[in-house]
Amino acid sequence: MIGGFLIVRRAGALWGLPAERVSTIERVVQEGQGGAPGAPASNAPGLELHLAGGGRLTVDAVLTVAGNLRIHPLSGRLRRFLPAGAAGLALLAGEPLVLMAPEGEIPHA
Amino acid sequence: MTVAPYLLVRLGESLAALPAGAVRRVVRGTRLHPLPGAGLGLVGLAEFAGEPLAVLDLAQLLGQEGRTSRPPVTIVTWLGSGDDRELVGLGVDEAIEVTELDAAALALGQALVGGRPVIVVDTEQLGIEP
Repeated sequence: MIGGFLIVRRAGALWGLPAERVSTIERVVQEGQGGAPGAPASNAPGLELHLAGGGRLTVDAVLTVAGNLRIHPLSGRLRRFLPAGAAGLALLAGEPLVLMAPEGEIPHA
Repeated sequence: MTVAPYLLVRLGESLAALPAGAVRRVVRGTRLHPLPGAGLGLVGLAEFAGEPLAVLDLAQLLGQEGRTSRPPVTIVTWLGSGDDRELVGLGVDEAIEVTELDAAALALGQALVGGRPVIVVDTEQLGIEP
């Protein structure tokens, strides 16, 4: 992929990954997820990102590649409240998202 | 005696006062987006005036017990000063009124309003790790 951020939804939140980190996007089945509480587990579809340099990341949806986000770098004050590897905040269609640094890891829910 | 205006807010059973000059807006029912993996004290992210806004739990920042539910009111406030100044949301239970406090209350970190103790918040230092 080329520059910009790949915007994904994971655990209900929006995240922006540097697009050059992602080499492949693959549709997968997430076993035992997607059912209502108390209901039998179902196999919900998901997406798996294969990261350049190794590693995989399962996400709920890939929304877009955003090349012109207005990035708000994290201040020292806010940095300690956000997941390690977060580099800044931005808005996409009015919804806030966290931009990850190239080496950052999106946390699990 | 010099006095200054402060916004009185409720945090559970406690009261706190924010310098009114640092407050930009009081918003009820902010649409909050929780963030998995966030540190204690971050309620979530929101949108304000076309910009992303981190919303922090004021009670937690002041060393009080964390809340189990989302704060119903967000005080959009400037923290820090000069080049370090930034806009954040502070989640509280209720915005009560603007009151005048002795300017010395800020240095003391506390005051009495109507006989009740009030934590006086220094918005220039709030959120900075000790």
